[in-house]
Amino acid sequence: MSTPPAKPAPTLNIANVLTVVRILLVPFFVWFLLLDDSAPGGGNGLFRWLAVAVFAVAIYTDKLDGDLARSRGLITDFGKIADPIADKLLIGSALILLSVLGELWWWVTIVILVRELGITVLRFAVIRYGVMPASRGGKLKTVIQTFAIFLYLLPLAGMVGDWYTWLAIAVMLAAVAVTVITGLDYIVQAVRLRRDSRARGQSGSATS
Amino acid sequence: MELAEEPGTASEVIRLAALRRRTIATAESLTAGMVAASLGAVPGASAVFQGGAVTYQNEIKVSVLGVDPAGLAATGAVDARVARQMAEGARRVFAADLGVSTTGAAGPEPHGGKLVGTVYVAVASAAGTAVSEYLFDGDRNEVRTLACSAALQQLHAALIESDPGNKS
Repeated sequence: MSTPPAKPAPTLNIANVLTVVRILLVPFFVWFLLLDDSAPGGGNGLFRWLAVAVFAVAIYTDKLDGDLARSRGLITDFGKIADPIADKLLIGSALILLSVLGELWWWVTIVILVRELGITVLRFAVIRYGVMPASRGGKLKTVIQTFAIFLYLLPLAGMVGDWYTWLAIAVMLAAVAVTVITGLDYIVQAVRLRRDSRARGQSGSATS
Repeated sequence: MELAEEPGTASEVIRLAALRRRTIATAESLTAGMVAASLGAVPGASAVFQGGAVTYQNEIKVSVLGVDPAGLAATGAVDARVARQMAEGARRVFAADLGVSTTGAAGPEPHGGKLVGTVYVAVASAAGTAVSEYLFDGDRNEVRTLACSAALQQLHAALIESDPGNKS
């Protein structure tokens, strides 16, 4: 009996297709937001709502493809890299666009983006010592960020009153706080991972 | 997590294997015999189920299944290549047409740098070996149950893919 060739999970699977669709949606999202801004009448019209819809669809596929990949054995090296890139591309373009349009303070966008990119670099830097798990806080961070951006994107302030603007600002500030706190937590984890790994070499528990 | 075991996956595996005249063997780490027990619970299992190995410790994976010790030391047991070698080992040791394996981090602690819930399932056949990576959400029991379901599902998928009747 010769050793049969090994087949990994196929790269072209439903979870990865959804990830690629999500990346392809980002330019449309940006385009719709800019189209709306340059529309006669000052914006907040059809294209703004289309941008909101595209953002919502993209966020939904983010959850969907992650769940599918993890539960159906469709985790691939491509997905591990492409999924977080798609995620950051969407969040990043939304924040930058909102700042460009003058609807969101630049410092918020800068703080969040510096933290996101910094932690991504940090993960790769310590990968030889071990994987830093996405913490519970990390998932909460993504949910709050997404919710805050969604509130900012929805052109409701003019319709429902000032309280809506304040709500959006409050949620965005909460997103910044959680983003910074979880960022600091990752730094602590990375330092600990590196120290522990150097101290004991390979772990030897028998849980497998 | 919503992926509950579909009722009768084990029965489907046994039925299909009998139909296609394929024999099955298991090599289990984190599920520690759950896959073998599921198969054995089905009436008619004796026609297709050759046997199974519970290889919990690394040295047993090496001595019983022939997993490469150097690779095992480098990556730890929760690894795609280890899963593949376990499935191929089961297929060889039990002289079966199909070997299925499970290895993963059931928790509560991460295992060798792998997150709790990380599971690899491999199915070895004459056509090759397919490895699937999962990341299950849940406590130790849930992860083990989901890993067992995943193994049965991958086994089922391999049986469906296999060429009917033509034993190569």
